[in-house]
Amino acid sequence: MRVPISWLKEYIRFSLDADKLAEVLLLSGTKVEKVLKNKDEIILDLEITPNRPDTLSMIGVAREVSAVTKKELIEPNIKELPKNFKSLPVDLKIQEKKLCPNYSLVAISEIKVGKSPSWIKERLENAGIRSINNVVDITNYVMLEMGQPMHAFDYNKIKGGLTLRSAKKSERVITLDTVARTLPEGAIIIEDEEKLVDLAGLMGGANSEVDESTSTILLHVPVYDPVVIRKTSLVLGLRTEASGRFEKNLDLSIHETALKRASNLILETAGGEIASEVISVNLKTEERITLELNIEKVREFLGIDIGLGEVSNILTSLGFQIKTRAGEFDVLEVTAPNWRRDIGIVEDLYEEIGRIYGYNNIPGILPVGEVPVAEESSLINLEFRIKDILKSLGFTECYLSTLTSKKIMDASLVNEEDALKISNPMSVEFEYLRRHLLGGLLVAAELNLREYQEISLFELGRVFKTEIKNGIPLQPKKLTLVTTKSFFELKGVLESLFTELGIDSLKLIEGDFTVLTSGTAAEVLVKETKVGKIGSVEKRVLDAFGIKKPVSMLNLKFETLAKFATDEKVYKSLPKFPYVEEDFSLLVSKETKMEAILSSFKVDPKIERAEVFDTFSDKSMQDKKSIGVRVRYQAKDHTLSPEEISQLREKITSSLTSLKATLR
Amino acid sequence: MNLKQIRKQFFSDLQKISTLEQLEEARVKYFGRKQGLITKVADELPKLRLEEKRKVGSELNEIKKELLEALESSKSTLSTKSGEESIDITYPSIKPSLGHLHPITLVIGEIKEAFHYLGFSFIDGPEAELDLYNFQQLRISKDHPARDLQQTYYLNENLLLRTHTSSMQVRFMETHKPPIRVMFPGRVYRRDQIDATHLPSFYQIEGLQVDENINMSNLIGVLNYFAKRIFGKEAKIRVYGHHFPYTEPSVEIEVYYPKIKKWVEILGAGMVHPEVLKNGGIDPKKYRGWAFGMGADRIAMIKYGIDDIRLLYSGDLRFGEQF
Repeated sequence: MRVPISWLKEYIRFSLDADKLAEVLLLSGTKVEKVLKNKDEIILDLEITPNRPDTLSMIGVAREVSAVTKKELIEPNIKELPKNFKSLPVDLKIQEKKLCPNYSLVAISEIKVGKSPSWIKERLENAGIRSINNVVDITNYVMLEMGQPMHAFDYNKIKGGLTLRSAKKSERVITLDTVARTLPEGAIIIEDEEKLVDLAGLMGGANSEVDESTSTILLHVPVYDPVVIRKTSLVLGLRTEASGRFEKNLDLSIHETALKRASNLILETAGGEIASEVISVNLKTEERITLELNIEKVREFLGIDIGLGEVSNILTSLGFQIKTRAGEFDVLEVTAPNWRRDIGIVEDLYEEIGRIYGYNNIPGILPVGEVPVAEESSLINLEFRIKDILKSLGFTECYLSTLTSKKIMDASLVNEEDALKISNPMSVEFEYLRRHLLGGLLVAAELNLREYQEISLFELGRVFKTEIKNGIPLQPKKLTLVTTKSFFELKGVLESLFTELGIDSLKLIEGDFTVLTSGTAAEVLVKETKVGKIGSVEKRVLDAFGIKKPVSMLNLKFETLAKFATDEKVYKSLPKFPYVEEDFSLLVSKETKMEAILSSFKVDPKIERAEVFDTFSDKSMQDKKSIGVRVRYQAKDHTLSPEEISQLREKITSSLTSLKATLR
Repeated sequence: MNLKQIRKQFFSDLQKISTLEQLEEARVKYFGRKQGLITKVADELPKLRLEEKRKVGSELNEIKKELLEALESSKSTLSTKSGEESIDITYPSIKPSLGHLHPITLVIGEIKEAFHYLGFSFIDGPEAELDLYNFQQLRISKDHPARDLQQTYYLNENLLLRTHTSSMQVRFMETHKPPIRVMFPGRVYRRDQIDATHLPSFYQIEGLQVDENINMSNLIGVLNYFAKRIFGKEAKIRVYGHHFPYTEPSVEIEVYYPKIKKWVEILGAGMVHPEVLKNGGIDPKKYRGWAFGMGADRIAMIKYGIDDIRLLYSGDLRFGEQF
């Protein structure tokens, strides 16, 4: 809301400059978004929160300034209306009382509609409202001044009595801005015997507008159902100064006063006389809430040493009524003013006191008390641990979008039925929730491969399944790595990661998986539990993403991994007895797996290790390959004798025959 | 010159020698076949009488040995220092490949560490969430502006993508009794036009403390502590009134960041509304709580001077490897 400072000064005398005023408002809860200048006038553009419609008015803002600066609030002098000599029929039937439970109505005749006096024109325009004519301007002026919107109809353009009701489907009205609107069912409208004359609460009808030809007006000051106003506003995409107020919890009882104020100003500037009784209806009343305020509790809650007098002053300056209780010196009975329908519990009063007292005057004290022993951090701690390990292994962390598109899903072989769809997306780029991390990582890979030769990326984040558990979709966290490194280098990263996490018993079993090239993929297991997959990404997927280099992928289930990760370390004592090493050279068929070969060697615990140090194959060997294996013989409790070593060698040799391996 | 003088001269010369060439010159000067000083003495030896010959001879041998050893020793020292093994130290290094953590991870890590000292645990919760936890339990009624289709991504009538980490407050309280000290970092979603400061999803961190005797002063104390830990000990905070349906009082905090000499708005906070405590199964007459929520992206952008939020989610290595 725009507040021209010179207008504000009509309701409170203060000597702060614009910046200081802005600061004072900001600290007490009214944010100044911009400070504007128009010739000599300085205008504050305020952000008003939805719970404070009372500050959508000059008086409301002035009251805030008054509370903080402790200067007196000057309310406008509202005179009683002169008696009416005419009694024009003024008839408003309300079909559903809920739609407009409270209102005031009066007719004013013999008016001269023309230009507004410059003081009204300037104030309105500085507040961001265009000047139309003196009558319309005054309705807007009082709306801005008191926060109560109202509407003036040209009495003579209305045929017969007025009815306020709910719109039926597809009714139409042309509003003041000459736009023809088809109304949603349920919108509040006012009609005469022939036509719709008002889109109530949002904008008046063009057919009943006040212009130079108007001589008699019907002034209507209503309170509407805020929910209906807001819904209508949203559906039509129409928001006005009036609807912005009507959709909130306005003061239910100022409509009559606002009517008097507007009428006075109209009589002053447009002449004329009151031509009917003033009709005032108050079907909806709210009892003003009274709360018990204990000063000790205020001090304790805010953490400040504030006196009863100061508390009383603050609340009074905000319009609250204070009563003391006989014999109870720490207690005040506080009644909220009509315009503060947001006050309901004593904490609301603590807020009023705190914000005017100034939150920056509250000393900051760190909380004391028992520190809970929290075990839940373990998952997040593990996340950080994994990320640090991957960083040291040369991988760069990415955060990618959890929302994805059909295009990316198709490219990465995700079925549409397997992904959750947003019902109100902004664009097709962000229409589905990702089912895996790979899609985003491949997009990033392609982008980076334009600039870099080698890339190693990872993400640890949520993926989303369509399956529901406890009311929400399953959304486990996954860890996915993509790299241009070879499969075996990635396998090395996997092994290093697991070693660092204290996970032994890692096992890879060949498998066939979507997205991974057959024959180059494996399931990752820990103690028979499936923990993830590793392999080369299929060429058709790489092609779909425009990636020209081979890419390997490792995907792990984070929560499953967490079950096995440990930071316990157990020391193994160093060997006390010497080892003997021996090399074996074998010829095996090409299909024989390395794992099978090495497990053939491990036929005795005294064969402490067996490692491949060389592999070789060429055309002359046909369907065979040559493997060099270095074996270490070592016993924990004694030095091995040549006879023992001989026996171990025998064991190996006979074990190797089952592999159809030839020793060279 | 007698032998003693030659020896003295030799060692004085040796002091001034710094190259192999100079050393060779010295060797020639003293041991050169025709003119070497020692050689000359050796040449005179036959002309001496027997007794003299024996005396000078042995002295000559000693000094010859000493000088030759000194020459050898100098030679090996000068060899290693001069040019045989020297390298161009400005040549590019062979760098081990180093990975990088994402700036948001770094920010969350810093905050985690800061609050670790205060005994806070860290938990992340669901992103596809029930309307119940995201809105209803936080006193955001069905007609509240925040519920607009314009601002929230919905999966269906009851499921949405959480718009703030505050959705964790009641979820957590339902299954935990005070004292509660917990932080919830995580992704949240807003339906916004995409530009340099808005994306469909970003990161927030929520803090929550519930205990007996918690008050506004504690909230301000914790926020002060947070500002100084994350933005340096010269950082200051400024607290001003605001409104959230789930806190009462509600405030917003600006932090003065000395490095850029600016005040930046980074978080909203307040005392947990008694109704929210009740929704979490906690008796508001006995316990009070404070809560705050901040944008991790925003903090990363401020701390690292990043000007476009889209970079944070691009996966671009030219960006990522700067951290």
